[in-house]
Amino acid sequence: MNRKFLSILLTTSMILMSVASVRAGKFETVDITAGAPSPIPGHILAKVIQIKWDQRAIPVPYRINNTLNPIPNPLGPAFLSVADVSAGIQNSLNAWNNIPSSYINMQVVGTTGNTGLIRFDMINEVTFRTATAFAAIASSPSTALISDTTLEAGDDIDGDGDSDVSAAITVIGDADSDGDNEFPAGTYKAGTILDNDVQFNTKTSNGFRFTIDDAQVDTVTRSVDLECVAVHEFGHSIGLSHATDNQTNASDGNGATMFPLIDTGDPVAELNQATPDLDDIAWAAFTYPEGTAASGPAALQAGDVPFASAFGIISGEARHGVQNRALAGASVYAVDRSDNSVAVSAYTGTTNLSFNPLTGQLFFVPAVNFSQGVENGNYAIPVPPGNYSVGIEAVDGSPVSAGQINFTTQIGNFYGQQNFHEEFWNNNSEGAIERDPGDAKNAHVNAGFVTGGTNITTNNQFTIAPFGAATNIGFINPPAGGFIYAVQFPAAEVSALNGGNPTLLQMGQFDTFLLDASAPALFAKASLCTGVINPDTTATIDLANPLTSSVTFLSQDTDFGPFYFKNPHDLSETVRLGIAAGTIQNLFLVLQIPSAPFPGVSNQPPLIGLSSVAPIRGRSFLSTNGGLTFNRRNDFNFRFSLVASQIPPTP
Amino acid sequence: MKKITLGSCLLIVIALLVSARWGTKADDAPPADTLGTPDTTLAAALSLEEMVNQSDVIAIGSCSNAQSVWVDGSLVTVATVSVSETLKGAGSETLTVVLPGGIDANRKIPVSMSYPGAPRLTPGENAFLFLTAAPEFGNNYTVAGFSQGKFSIVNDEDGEPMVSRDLSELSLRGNNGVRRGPSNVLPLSSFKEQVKGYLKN
Repeated sequence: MNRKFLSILLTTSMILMSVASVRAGKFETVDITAGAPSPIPGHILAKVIQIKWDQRAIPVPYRINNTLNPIPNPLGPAFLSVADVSAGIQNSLNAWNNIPSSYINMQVVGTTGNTGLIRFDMINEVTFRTATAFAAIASSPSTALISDTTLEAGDDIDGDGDSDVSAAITVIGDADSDGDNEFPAGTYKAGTILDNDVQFNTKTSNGFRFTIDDAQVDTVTRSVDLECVAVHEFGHSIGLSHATDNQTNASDGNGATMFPLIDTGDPVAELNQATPDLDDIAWAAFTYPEGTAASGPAALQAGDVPFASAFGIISGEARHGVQNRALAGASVYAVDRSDNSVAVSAYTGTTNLSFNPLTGQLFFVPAVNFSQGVENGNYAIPVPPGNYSVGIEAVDGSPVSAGQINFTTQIGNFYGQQNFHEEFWNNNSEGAIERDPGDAKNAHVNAGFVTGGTNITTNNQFTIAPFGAATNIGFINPPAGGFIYAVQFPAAEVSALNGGNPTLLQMGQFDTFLLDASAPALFAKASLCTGVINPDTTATIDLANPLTSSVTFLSQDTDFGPFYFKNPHDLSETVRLGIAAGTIQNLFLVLQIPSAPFPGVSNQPPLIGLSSVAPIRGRSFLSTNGGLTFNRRNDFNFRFSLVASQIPPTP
Repeated sequence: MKKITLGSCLLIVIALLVSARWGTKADDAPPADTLGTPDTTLAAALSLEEMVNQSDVIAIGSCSNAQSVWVDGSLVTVATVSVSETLKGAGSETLTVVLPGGIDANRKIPVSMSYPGAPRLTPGENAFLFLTAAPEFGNNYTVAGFSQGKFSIVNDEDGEPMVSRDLSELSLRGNNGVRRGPSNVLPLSSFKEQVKGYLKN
């Protein structure tokens, strides 16, 4: 996510906090309570909702599986005891429990002797047993209600023959001392979690060595700190989805704990996962807002901070500019303008699936009935008071895919909506055709209030992307002169955009990577330059007189970093006139790595995405002598793209 | 140095990645100053080439049915895929794929079981699938690399089938790499050719 802000303008209106429904940052199931008819005959619409614990199920009790003691170590002798694990797991739970504006509370209450795998048994189990086919580090499946349900005393929720509901209790617990949990009798909303288990993979074939001492964190990729993994998994346990934030700002490459990847070869990044990031904290607090009840877990207690005192909300609606309709499953994110840090992100849209009540099957609502599949593109981002820029990006696999998040992102993908370029909200200039997609206006947020109307329409743009799928990343071990990468965009190709009609050159995009997740994707310089191709196939690029440039350019990790051009209108006119006069033969997107030493345990510079997929277009150049010579690469296309737009109407 | 998926994701051994990056035989090795990487930025666990090599079946098809069943106290979804093309493995008109999690509305207390980041197949959904045999589920299959082995196929505004996920491409229409829209989707035909290319090696 780029943090470039070109102007500041107070644009928001403040209303009392009254966001009734938000749909992001959330791990989801469906609600079939209403039973509204689906466009598919015989089906009903199933509303996509978040899963969460009911207040009567808090504190959430967890039990540690004690049938593997010590805990298996696939890399050597076992050294971790169940007692060690119990303490470590409680530390991980406390990472969420200790958020002052969230009333979630989870506690280790004992052990369980399950010699099998996790299952729906009304025991919240933490286990180191996993199925043969399970190859992840860990997982946190939850069983939840899919309709509003009245649980009556004596109900057997999990079907094991004994009662799981008691009228004699007001809070979850083992009321009949049979080892599993009973819920208090009463009515519960769809989405209520009934059972959650967390499993950690220790199999010799594909498992991991889990440690609990920070001093044991190392660069061995199959060794990982238990608590950092557990904090992530318990984030799912309280109903949070994966996040897309994998970089905070130009000095901190670490992202959210709920980002779905962990760099087990980077000790700094690994340990960072054990501490919830602002994104994680905000969503835990938004899901379990402290101070929203007069009694029970949500009532204020010593040390609590009311959610409404600590957070406000940025809300709006997202639309897909090409499809001209509501946008589901896009990632919207707030960037703190005081330090250009990515603060909190969310996903757009209120969505439905189609449910066959006879067979229990879920279907996508057919594309011709889009409006019933996607009710709207609404979003809400909980943030501390402050000034924010609001950006939007597709959940398109870079850095995570729609399938890694939740139903809503998948629904957006099903309708072909995860296919637009990143941009910022720019208030009255929002539209499918914009003058400057990098122009970020200010969304001011006060605690306890909603800053509404931050409506975003994604752009309809042209992209010159002369490369194939990424096959490599590079380059490592730079010489003293460093690396300067450049990709050629011939004048004829630029002129031909939009059928030869005038266009706005708006941004370049650089596909960039890092070897260490804790390092930021910080480059020395990004620029758009002119140049020529010499008879010997080298390029001469006018680095001294760039058309536009950004010094200390912050790109993205495992994603295309947008390089928004300054004043696209004037820039485009300069290019148009230069091409017409023959003084501009080519444009070059240029990216220069910083000087050594590089942050991170690998001591390597930020890398770029490379493609060896044919055809190799011969438009990618590399300089290793500070830009004096650019040599053509005949083995790769560098994954840099040039983005343009039609000329928008004059405001 | 290597990013692997938490919780849901990722599965598969990190060592595969490392070996893929550094230990390939000479004639397959990337230049010394690059890393053989993922086209799946996702992380890393399985590159497309690794996924091709490790899959028992690679097929393109449409999910025609997805039924949840209980197995040892857990819900799984048994999806039937009508196969339109098989790129690897024995050809078959249909395949049965077992996915973690599911939904059961036909009980007194209707519930769902959900795994964060797990692959899902929904009836009517078109997909490009990399599958591994799952002996514990009879002669059926699971998705390779947890969610990594499932690629959704959706049509773009012009009706062209595109594979979604970060497969960026862009050989695009015309011959100069120009297209409308972003670069994070890949025409199905191009993706298929890339997979076939790995199959020949």
